[in-house]
Amino acid sequence: MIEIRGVRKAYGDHTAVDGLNLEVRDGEIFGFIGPNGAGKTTTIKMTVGLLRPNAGAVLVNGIDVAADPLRAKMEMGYVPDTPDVYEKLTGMQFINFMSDAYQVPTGVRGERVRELADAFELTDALGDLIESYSHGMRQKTVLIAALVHQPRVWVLDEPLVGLDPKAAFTLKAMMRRHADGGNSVFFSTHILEVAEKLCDRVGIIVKGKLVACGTLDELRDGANETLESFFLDLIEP
Amino acid sequence: MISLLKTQLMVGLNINAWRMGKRRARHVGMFLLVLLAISPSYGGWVMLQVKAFEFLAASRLPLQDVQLAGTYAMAMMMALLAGVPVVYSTLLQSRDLSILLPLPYRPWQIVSAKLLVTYAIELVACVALCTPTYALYLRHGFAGPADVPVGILTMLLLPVLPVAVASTVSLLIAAIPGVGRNRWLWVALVLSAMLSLSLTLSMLSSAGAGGEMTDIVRVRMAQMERVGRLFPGAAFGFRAVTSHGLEAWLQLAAFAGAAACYAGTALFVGQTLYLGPILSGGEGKRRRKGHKAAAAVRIGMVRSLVNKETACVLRDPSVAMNSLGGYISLPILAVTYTVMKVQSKGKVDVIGQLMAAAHSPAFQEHLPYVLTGIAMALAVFGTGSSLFSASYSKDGKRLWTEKCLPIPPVTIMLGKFIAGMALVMPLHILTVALAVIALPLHGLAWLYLATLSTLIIAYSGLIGLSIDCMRPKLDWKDTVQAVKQNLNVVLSMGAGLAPLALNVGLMVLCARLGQPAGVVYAGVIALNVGMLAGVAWLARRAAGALDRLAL
Repeated sequence: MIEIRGVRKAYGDHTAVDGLNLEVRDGEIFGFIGPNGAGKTTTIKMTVGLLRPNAGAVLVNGIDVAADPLRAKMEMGYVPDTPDVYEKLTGMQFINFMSDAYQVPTGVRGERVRELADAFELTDALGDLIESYSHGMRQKTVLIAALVHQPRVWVLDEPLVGLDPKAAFTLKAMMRRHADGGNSVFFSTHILEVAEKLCDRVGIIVKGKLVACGTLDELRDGANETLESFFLDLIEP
Repeated sequence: MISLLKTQLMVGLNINAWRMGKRRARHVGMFLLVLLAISPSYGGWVMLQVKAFEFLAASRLPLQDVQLAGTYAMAMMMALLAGVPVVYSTLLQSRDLSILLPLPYRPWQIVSAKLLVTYAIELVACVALCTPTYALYLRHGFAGPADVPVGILTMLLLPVLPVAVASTVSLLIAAIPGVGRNRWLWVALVLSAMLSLSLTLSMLSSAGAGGEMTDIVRVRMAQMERVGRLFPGAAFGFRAVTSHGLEAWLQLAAFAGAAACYAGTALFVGQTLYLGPILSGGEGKRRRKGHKAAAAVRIGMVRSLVNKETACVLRDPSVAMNSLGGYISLPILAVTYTVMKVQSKGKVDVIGQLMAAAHSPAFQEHLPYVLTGIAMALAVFGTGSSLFSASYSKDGKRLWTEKCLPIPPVTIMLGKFIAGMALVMPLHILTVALAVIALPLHGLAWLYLATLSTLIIAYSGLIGLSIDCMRPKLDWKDTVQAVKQNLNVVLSMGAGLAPLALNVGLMVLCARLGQPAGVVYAGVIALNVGMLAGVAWLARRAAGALDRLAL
């Protein structure tokens, strides 16, 4: 579960996120959507501890990210919007490095890596340097590394970008299974069809403020419109 | 084409940084700082030229032409040596080909736009080096206003030859099957090629000179001979600036023709060997090899961090060369020493003189002070680099991995520190061993030397790590920028001087008080252990800066 309470983040004069309140509950996939520069990535970065909010707090499974960052980080698996990873490591070395940080025991590590690598069809490339990987392969490497410790909370910033259709399908199925198991998935996306089909609830952020939040039925409020038309109506001035 | 050239120059020279509001002030500040740092050397160069012309005038030696042509020759050599890493960075590390190749440009246009960036960088250096000499040449009346256009045009053409040679050599080596774009092999081969070339040329010129090169004419002529051999056609340029009237223009035309041939060759090689494999799709095949993956085994977090750091340093030649630069310079210094000794027929023998001093009675008399000085000098090989002071910077935007992982910032710094020490220590032990073998040391003097120099490396490393953690340079295009154009490296070296000054102060105090050797040894070790403890305490606090860092 993620609780974002009155979070504000400003860069000089520009307020990227302004008093945001949000809750991602256990057992749900929460889609975070908004136009470019709306504050999605800033919110996600504050959730995983990459940025410190100017005000407010973020709690992950009841743990304050600012007060007890190490415990909070153990609860999460994070995939950034761009897979910038150490190019001079092999895929397996990078996964091992992340697994060591999350204290994944040797006994289960091999099995989990094998499962994830097979699911994303990356097994044969794990011994190669990451610098030789395509964008999609890097994205898969980051996904495997982020999920290898079986975190209860998944925080994914545009995770489908660069993935081939099969890998995208696999990831979406994994997200559903994870949420159905009583865990939380918080992810941002620009693909509204995906959000519409996959998410239990959706939050729409515009200019740093949450302008709509709820299940798709709640957002539509009885009207027979798609998420796309609802979203476009909402952001039109 | 103009748009392509303009864009490449804007990106390559980071011109927008000079235009944008907030970044402009920072950029101008950095530029002024660099200008301040190099101004003493540049001032020295200008003064040297002034004195040389005054000396020639006073002694009525008609060597002003040689002086001017020699400066142009030197600028070409400098452009060649400095051009190799710039060419590598511009051509082989650039990531914009996926944008440029689909555009309606011919391959040669793309290559020439990229080489233009290298040319522009080298031109600045050549103009800075040659202008004072040419101005003095004019002032002393050896050329008139009518000759100035030829002088300027020659200066503009000057970097074409070395940039073309640098790019041709770089691309030919990069195209060797098996070497490909393996940067370690590439760097090793380019360095070997340059070293062999320089050794061959120096031997040829010393054989040709016959007697001893005791006067300025022979020295200058030998310099130009070497450059002439390296760049056939360069002599036209030297003659253009020292001739007058029609002859000067004719020589310039010949020089321009030679420059066009060089540029044409570089463009042909670039089109064939640089873009050819990419367009034919051979690059991707060459890079992926399907290696067997490492086992999924858990190791301690610190060990995992150390492994990651070591791999990131050693597998990137730019980072490794700059991180271990002090030790890499040792074999180069050894070759230079040998060449100087051979050329001077044994008359210039720096090491021989040092050995004679080491075996003199004064060495044993002042042993504690001399040993402390030697320990500081040995430590400089380990600390005078970017190993520690660009450790966070070299991670760049990938620093998010460490920051979002459940690892305390102090552990991250500890991992970087241990990795740095693990990389330095084998080479440090080797240099200490060489010093111990060469010097007449008795008893536990070797232990003092090894302990003190290691302590200095340790706290200097922590100072570098602390500075880099507090203000890392994370926004860069390739790792060369992270480790080479990083103010933290200079700041760390400056900050590292303070503890060394304390050592010097302690030794002066001991010498004045006439303390026995045992007291000096114990005092210096205690001071440095104390400094290590103090710096470690400060570094622990500095490590927390990672938490406050916005990524």
